[in-house]
Amino acid sequence: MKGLRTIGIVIFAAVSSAFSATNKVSSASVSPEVTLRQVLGLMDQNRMNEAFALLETVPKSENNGLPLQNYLFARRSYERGEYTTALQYLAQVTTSFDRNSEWLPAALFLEGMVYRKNGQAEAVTYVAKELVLGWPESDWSRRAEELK
Amino acid sequence: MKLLFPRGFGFQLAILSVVCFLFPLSLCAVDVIPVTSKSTTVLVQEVQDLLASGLFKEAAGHLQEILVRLESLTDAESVSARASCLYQLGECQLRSADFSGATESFKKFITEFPRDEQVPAARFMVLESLARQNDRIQMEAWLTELRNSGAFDGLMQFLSDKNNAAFRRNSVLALMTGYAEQGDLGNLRLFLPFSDEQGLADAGFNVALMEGGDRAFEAGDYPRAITLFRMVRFKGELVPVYKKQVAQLEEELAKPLPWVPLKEQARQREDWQAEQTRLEGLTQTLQFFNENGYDQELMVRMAQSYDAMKRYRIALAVYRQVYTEFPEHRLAEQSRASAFQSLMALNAQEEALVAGREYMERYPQGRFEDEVAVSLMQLYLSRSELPASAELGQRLLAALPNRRLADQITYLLGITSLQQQNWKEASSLFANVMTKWPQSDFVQDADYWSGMCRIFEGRFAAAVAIFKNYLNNKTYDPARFRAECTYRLGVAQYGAEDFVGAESTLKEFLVLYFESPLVSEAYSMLGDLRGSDGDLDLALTMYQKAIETATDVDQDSYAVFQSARAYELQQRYAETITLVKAYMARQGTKAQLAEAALWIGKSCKAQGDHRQALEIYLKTLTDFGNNPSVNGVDQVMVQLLEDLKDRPADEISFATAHLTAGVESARQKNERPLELRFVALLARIAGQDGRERYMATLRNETNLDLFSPLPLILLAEDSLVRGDVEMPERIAEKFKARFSESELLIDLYNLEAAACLSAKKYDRTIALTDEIIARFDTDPRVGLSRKLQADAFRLSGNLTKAVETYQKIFSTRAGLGSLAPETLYWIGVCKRDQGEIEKAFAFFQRVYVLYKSHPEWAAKAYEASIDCLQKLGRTAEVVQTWKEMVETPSIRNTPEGLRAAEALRRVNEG
Repeated sequence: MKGLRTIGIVIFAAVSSAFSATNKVSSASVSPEVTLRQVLGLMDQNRMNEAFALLETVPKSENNGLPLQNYLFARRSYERGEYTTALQYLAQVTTSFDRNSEWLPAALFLEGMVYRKNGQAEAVTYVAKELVLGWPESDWSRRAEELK
Repeated sequence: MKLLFPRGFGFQLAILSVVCFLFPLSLCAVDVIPVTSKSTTVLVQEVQDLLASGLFKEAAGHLQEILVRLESLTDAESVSARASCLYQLGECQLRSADFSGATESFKKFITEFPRDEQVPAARFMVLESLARQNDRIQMEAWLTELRNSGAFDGLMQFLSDKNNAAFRRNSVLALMTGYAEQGDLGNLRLFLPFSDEQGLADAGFNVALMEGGDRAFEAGDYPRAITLFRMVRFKGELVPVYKKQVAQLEEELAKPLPWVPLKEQARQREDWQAEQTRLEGLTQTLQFFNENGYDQELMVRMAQSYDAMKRYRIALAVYRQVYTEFPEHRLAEQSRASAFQSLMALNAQEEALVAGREYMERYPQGRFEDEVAVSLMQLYLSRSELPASAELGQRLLAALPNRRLADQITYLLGITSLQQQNWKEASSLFANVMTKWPQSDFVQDADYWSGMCRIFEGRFAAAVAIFKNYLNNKTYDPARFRAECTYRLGVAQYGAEDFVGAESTLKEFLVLYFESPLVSEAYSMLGDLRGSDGDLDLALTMYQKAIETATDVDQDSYAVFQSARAYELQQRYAETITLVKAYMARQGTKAQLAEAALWIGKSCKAQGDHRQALEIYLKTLTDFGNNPSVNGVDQVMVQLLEDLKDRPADEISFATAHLTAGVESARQKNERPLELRFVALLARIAGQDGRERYMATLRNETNLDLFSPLPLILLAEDSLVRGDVEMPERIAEKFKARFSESELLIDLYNLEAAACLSAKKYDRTIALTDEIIARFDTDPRVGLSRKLQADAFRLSGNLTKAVETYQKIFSTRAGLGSLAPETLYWIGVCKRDQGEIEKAFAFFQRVYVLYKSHPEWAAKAYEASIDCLQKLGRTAEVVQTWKEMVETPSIRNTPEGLRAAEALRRVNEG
């Protein structure tokens, strides 16, 4: 899905291309964080089936999971048209209150996309404004325009 | 901070500044001699003492006097001293909260001594002074001025200089706090990099961020509010910083004081005391974090911001986090109430019900009990859970009759009674609202619905009086229901047979409220008025306007079908077809498809064109049938089957061919629900004997979600016939969940009851049929439900109850079909088993006398009556009955008829 390509695609693409033969990489041999970044790379390349399969291999960590994991679950739900579930996962990213989370603006952007799909124009506008205010001068601020 | 060390006064002042800001000294006596009368040397000495004592305001007075005295001196030393004095004056003013004075002094310093080393600091101090005044406009102006003059980068460099760290901490923090309070994210971010972790963890700064967020929230700038709230440090981030400071300070204070000369000991003690005071302050701040629900306050603020932005799922998650992580905190209750309201806004009804009930159970007489109760009642009403709504409202009012939202609860109880069609109760409750709470916002609503109750009761004259009173009530300002009451007045007048009044009111309504959503209904009423007078052309004109102004499908449907009635009276069938076809195209799946198709079919048939009627049904089916949930399509299917009864074979072949083609087409397009509909119709048309070849398609489809009602019914029937009594129950569960409004629901219920009966679950059968009878009461298909119930009683040995129940079947006489002879037969069987042979015989006899057209039951009844006659010893009549059976063509070849012939043969043979 072009609209949701994340900023780190270049880095992740290299990792994920190594993963293209899904079964060759044992998820047990790498940390969940690395595997999740592989999933992200696959999603950014629109290789959804591979991404979803790999995502399944990562056990959900304690305390409602890692922000990245929840973000990826949300993207999976979004791709499947399960918007309420997507929002539930995104809420977990938000409520992790991780001050330095690089996934917060990504989650926010995806939240805006969900509202756009649901025709909730007012919420879309608010999310776009929040991206601009929260991450000025960043790519997310520029991409807020895509939501409108 | 770098200081100048000018000679003379300047040198003294420079020393003074270091002393005053780093070592707070004891208070000096301030004498009463005016400063103007003192020598400059004395003034300088006194300034030193005043600053050391923290008396900045007084020091400022001295410095101003010194500046006056230096003003006319132009030697380098005096100029340098003046510069130092002016800078110090600014600092004193700043510290004595004379912020405008400080701004002026620092600006003057910058203007008069532009090359002074202190200028970058002074530029910053101007900002700090303005920040302290909350003068955002001037701050902006000052920063713009600095940018325009090229001094801004210098300011930034000054701040970046690590030598200025100590200076920066206080001033940057003050500036950031000012920006935070004002919610100025741009400038806040500008200075944020110059703050260290201790500054970012400063309680004042974080509270200012919250206040800035609050201010943005109040102004409706929710994205800014949430951004500011997200910048606030949580307790978990702040406490370690404060604990570290406390530990360091405690360590310092625990050390023995170093030796100092006697004259400095007082100062040393005061310094120690000052640090002790700072320690107490830090400890108090720590205590504040631990006791005052700082995190919870922050989280609730964030949730409220998400709520305001209609991002309810996110708000909900934060509220839930508050009440699950801090269940005993005072904000847990508010969070639960708010979470419930978020769920209401999401229309997540099931979750909302759980959350609302949990709140009510957890917080009886809670702070938000009334609000939650009102929303819960509205939720119950929207779900037609009327007893639950009534119970909740009544319970709350009984507990506290004059509770805060008693008016609203009473009003909702009135609406509940209205929906229960308990008009008197509703009227009484609405009257309560009006008399007990005359100032309530709900008085007008209650008044309007009182009138509506009278209309529903058929008390039209009373309704007319209420609506007229409403319209004349001067206290209703603005009268929110003026348009509605005018229209309803017309309706009530119509009901009261004041047709002239009704027409006049409705016309007035159309003139005054031409934008009301009720305009279409008013035109329809006028159409009805003209139509009842026989003026069908004018009636049709009115209905046409009603169609044009309809705001929803109900208004459109009413006008269309009333038009169809008028056309029918005029025998304008072609126009009916055109009208209804246009309606179906306009409304699509929202149209009342069944009635529409019925009208078209009726009109086609009236024109003698059965084939076209059939085509219309099939087209409707093809156009809308791939959605299994469109209820009207099923009614069209039923109508199609009804119309095919007793039609010539060529017409049935035509329908079968079309349906077969439809199956193929749907299969190619992968329109599985439509395919299943066509197959179900074919199976029905084929009848019991020919349906088998179609049933495989239905049986092989395991996804029940693709089935619409009729195919599901067929599948359930088929399962029952094949002895699978589990399947109908599974289908019933699915059916009830998905098609609770279907006309075929009762058929499914009956199949479920039949399955229970077959499974010998008699108690369940009786309970289920009780439910059917209560729910569908007047539907003729309840006859079958009663029969199944009676069968259950009979098979479980309760013959008296069985007979009683069988007899109730005849309370609905119409459309009993084979149920009538079957019922009589089974009553006879019960009577016979009870030993009442004569009575049993009479029932059996009634079957074959009255229902010869139902040979399957007549034959059984003949045989049973022979059994009775034999038991009664009436042998001659036995033989006579056998003869009758053999002579009756419809009975002769039944198993019972064949047995009768055999018995007769044996008698004849002797």
